[in-house]
Amino acid sequence: MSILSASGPAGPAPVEVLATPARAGAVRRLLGNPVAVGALVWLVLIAVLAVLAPLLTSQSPTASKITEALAPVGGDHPLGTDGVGRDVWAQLLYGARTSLVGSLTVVVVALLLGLPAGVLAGYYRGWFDAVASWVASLLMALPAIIVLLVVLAQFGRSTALAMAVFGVIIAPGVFRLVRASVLAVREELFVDAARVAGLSDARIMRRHVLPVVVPPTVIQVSQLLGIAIVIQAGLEFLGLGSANQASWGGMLSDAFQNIYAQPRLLLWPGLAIVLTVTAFGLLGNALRDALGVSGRVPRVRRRGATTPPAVLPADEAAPAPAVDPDALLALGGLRVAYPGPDGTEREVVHGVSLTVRRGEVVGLVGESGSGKSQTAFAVLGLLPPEARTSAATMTFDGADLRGLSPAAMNRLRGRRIGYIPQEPMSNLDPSFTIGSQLTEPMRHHLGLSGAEARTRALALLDRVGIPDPARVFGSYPHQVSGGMAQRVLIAGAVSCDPDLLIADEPTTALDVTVQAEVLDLIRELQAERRLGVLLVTHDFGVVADVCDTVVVMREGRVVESAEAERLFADPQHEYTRMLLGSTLEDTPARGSLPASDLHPEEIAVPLPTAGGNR
Amino acid sequence: MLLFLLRRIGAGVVLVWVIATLTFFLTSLTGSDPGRRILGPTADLEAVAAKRAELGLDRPVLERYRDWLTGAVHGDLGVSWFTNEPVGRLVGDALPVSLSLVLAATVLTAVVSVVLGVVAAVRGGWLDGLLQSVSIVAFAVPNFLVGLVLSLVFAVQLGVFPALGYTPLAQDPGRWLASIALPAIALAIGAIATVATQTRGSMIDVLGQDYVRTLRSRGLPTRSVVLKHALRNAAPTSLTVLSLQFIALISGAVVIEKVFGLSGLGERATSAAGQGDVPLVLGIVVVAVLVVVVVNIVVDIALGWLNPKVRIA
Amino acid sequence: MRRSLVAATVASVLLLASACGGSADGSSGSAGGDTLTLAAVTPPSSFAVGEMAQSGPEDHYYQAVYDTLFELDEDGQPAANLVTDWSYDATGTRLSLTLRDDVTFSDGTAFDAAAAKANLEAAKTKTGEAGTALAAIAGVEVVDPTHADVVLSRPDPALEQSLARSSGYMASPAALSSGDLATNPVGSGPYVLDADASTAGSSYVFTRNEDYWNAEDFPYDSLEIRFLDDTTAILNGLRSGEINGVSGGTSDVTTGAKNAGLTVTQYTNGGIEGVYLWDRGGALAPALGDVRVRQAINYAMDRETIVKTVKGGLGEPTVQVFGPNSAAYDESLEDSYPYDVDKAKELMAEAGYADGFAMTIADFSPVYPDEQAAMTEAFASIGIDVTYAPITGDQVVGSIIGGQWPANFFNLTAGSPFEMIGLTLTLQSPFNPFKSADPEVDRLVQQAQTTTGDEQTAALQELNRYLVDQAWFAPWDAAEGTYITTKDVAVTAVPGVSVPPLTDLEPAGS
Repeated sequence: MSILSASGPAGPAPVEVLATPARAGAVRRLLGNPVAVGALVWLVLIAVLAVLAPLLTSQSPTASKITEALAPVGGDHPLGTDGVGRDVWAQLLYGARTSLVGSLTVVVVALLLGLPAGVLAGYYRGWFDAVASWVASLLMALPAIIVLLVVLAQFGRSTALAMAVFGVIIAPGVFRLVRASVLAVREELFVDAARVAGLSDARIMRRHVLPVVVPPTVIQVSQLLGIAIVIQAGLEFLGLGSANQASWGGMLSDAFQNIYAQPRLLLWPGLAIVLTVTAFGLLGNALRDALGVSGRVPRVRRRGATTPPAVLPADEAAPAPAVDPDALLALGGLRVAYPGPDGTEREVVHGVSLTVRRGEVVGLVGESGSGKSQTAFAVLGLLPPEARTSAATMTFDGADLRGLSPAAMNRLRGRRIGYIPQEPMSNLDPSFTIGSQLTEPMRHHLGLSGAEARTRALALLDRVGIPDPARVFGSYPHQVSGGMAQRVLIAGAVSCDPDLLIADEPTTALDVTVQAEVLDLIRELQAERRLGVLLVTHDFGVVADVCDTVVVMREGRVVESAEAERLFADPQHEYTRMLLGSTLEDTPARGSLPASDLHPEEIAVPLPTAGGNR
Repeated sequence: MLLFLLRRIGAGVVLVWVIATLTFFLTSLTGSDPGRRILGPTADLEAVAAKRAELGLDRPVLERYRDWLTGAVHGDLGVSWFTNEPVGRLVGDALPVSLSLVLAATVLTAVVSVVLGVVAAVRGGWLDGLLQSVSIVAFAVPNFLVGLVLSLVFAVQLGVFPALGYTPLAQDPGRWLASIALPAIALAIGAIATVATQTRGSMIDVLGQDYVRTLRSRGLPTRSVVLKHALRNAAPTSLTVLSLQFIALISGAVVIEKVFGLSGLGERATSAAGQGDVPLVLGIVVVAVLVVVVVNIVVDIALGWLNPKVRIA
Repeated sequence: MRRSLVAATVASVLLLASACGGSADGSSGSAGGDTLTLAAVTPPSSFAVGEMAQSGPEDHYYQAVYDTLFELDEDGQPAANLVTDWSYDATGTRLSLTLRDDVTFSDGTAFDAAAAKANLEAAKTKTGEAGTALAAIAGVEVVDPTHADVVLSRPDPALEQSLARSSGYMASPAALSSGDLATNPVGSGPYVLDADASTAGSSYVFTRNEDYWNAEDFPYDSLEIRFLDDTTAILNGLRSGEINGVSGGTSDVTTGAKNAGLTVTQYTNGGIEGVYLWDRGGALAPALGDVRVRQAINYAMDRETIVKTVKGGLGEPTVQVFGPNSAAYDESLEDSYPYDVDKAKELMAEAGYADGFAMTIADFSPVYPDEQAAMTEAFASIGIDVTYAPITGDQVVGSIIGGQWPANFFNLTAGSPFEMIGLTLTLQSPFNPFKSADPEVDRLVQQAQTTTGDEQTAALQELNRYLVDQAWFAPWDAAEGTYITTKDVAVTAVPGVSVPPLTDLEPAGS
């Protein structure tokens, strides 16, 4: 819609399995979208009509036949004539030319100015960037029509001039978009690597920069084309267009003059403008979807906040494992599936069963894409709404979680099930203080007053090892370190005294030195409060540190489930052995661990791990 | 913060000066003949020459520029060539009209866009599809067409709103609102389409953020997650888009003011530019850019207030 | 896509329904007795005497606050107003005026001969049309408070006309020297400008002058004049009754107004419209140097149709540049150039332009779109190919006077034949850009200026006949103006002025 809308870089895809492959097959995707095809067909039709205008009508669009003013539809005039007897059909056809040429003028001028300036400013920065950005902000502060009025009053009315000037005024939009794209790519590794490799600037531009700049620019161009047509119509309405050429805007203007005599004259140019601009708009949106530029593509996120999918009882007669009476969380035959683009379902978790007892730490281990996080989120009811989840058994503290209403689920979440996320910085709301984020759930769940919640939050912050709780309480997330933030999140997870803690790779994103401290903290809290913990991780080092029981997942299935000691000592499944083996290769320092029969608590010393990269 | 403000104000002043200077030379150096325009077609050449001298147009352009600038700095924007009214008064009379219109349209845009954008982002489904489709069409309809239809239906046919003119707020708040209601709606529709789409997009982005999932994992009610946390984080984007729309609305008002016979800046700008009334054109450009500068500074302050990172820094 | 189509269709249907149906019931505007709200298509340029145009859509602003020495009667001839009696001496260079003795300005100053002298002498120095029309005045002699003699440097047959128009506005002598008369008028007219209720440049509110000597001619207690220049806005305002009257301007507005059920009053406004063939010497367009080409152009003009469709009937077809009310007009000349494209082509061929020719002329379509279209069509019918050069509004007249265009559509308004001669036929005339000269024209002009009565009339008519024969111009019509009002306002039209004088507007049925 607006020039800006294409400017946002893609956000992180929320569900890794559904991440859209960029750009590959963009044209195919575009052509697979019926709306885009409709818009394209209309635009091509308009272009063809414009080009073939002389063949489609013998009438001149500008020659008036005053004896035939306001002639009705029919005869020589398939759509009648206007107030001075010009043929409406011919005007529509030739007007399409004017409109298309006019909007192309805008786009060409805007691109000629904005594209090179944006690339240069973004790539080289320096004084050019400063000057160009200043000029851009200057132009953006100008009300376009007032500038056009002044210019046209001075140089005479002309559609071409008006559109060229508008192109200049709108160029900062292109400039900013291109500059932002280039800036982003400039910082990226491959450009640095390319520079080190001694490639020329021109080559880097061609190979690495332009491919990033082109998609958002293409989308923006599509939008600009539509905007230009609307602006052009406005100028014609003000009487600032060229006289000796037909245009849709001019037709509207004439129609307004004759609105009481012949209102139908308004219909054709009105329809032509609205439909064409709409087509450009739809095409722009479809391009955005096809190119996957703005991050709005993954429909997965839609409605994410409000209507989590209900977990359905499994319809198949899956052998539900007998529920351990001591079990805090019992999961049997959990399946998670997503609808594919072609309507078929793609199952990513195939009947997972596991149990977490009070006071027990269960490690859920597997590689990326093994479904371990999906399993954890299924328990929390935080899967995207598209997800279809079913389970033979799913109980928490004896209560069936399946088919629970969102409100009922909300009473469990936070209150009885705590959640520790992976990435500390992105999991704190940047707009609110840490204190406010800590106290809100306590006030909501426990009905504490502001002051009580504050006292309790400060105590919690102190408990999780934050040196200056009062300062951190009043700070914003960006003001604290990652380790500190993770402690804050842990404090948040346990703030309402939950029974079960679900931790999703709680140390992966942290510095090596902080990882062990955080694990210690989780372990301490677990022991202190007799928490059941479901620890999702890919890292056997972490497992060895804290887990009592280990569940190994691969491709959505549980391949092995055993007590930690036994698993390390005697892995049954080949996959487990392979995982263990790779861990050993990665981290020779831990070579002594797996086979050892030490109790996990005893090896809770800081150890080098596989590190933060998944 | 103070330093930041001073810097922004300084940059704004430079901007106004640059634009005013460009406009001055653009309007002064081209071959126009204001004397003839003022005196009409049948005036003789001596009278035209006398008029030019009276307007000071026989003096060197740099001297005229210096005088104009000196006057402008002291708040004197000169006298209209065509109506002999002080430009300050003409612009001063027109400004409340345009500001009423544009601000009303902005408020309307903000409120409607946020509601639509949030609902579409949260509810999704057909409602979202409808918003998307309607906003694309709404954007495609030229606003003067909307204005004309509104005027024909609600003013001419039904007589529930005035078709023409502006009633000052101080004179009668009810009639003030009535006088700007239709133009503001006509003006706002395109902006609503844009801002609502943007708000929807940034809401969807924010709702997909990790911290939203974490907030939900804390069992907070949806109302708080969406309206307190997500909206707050989506607000800067929407506000930025809204501020750009504000500039677009000033442009749009030029056309809308004509349709509704409102004597605002746009109406003045069209007739002044058409007549070649240089002092009035300059005055309007200066004031319009000033308005934009002020609004941008206000938006910057608001953005700073919304974004803790800027606020503390 | 389908959804957008539906939306567009709904919008169109809504539009059509609203545009077709409906009635014009001037509901909110009450025109009886209290307030009259008029629209003017320009704001007032200046209230200072001598600075305004002779006659234009802004007349009402000035007529509200100023009395004129003379007024125009129903035939557009000067009649008594502030001047109750007048006479010329034998040489035609001394005009003796008898003035009313019961008139005071709104600042309390009495109107007398000294005030008339001060006004005329002040106005004469101004550059507006109102001032330059007084150029023949050498001075004003005060005889006594109710008698003044206007002394002329040369006879000026058009002076009384001028004094019945904007040249005759009388402002308070005290205000003449105040410096802000341009925006703060002090006159003796029927109304007083209420500056507080007005918005400069857009809305002017006038309240009744309680002491006015001729109040019964102005039945409205207050008057508001709004500057509105958008056709759609004007029509909407009239239809909704928010404004009661406006000058019709173009035929579009007039047609629109008729279709909208409004009252349209029609009158000749003194303009001669058509194609003015400036380049009679063939400097820019050699073909125009040939009288046969100029005649061919005259034959190619379908005047009846142009008036009917382009002008919406607002004009009297003519081939003469002197209007039907003027002494120079000769009814019999109207048969000179019947619409005859074959004859025109024949003449073109005879002149050696069987295939036509090309010329570049100014693009006036912002102001005259329909007229330009009609002109293009007429030219095209005899093979003349016109390219339009874009031009800004304030370059229009200057570029014509500067001789940039061989011909163009134009409208020249003259209150008298002598004014038209002064505008177009002498070497000093602004609208003789190529300095066309012809001994016969000069002789006849000379003869007309130095004779009086029937002799003068004969000379003028002979001049007119010669111009038509030589096809110096290709006029279309004597233009007619319209004044559009809501049903509750009645208008008495006066020929030869841009808008009906304020005194001729009154509540319908009274």
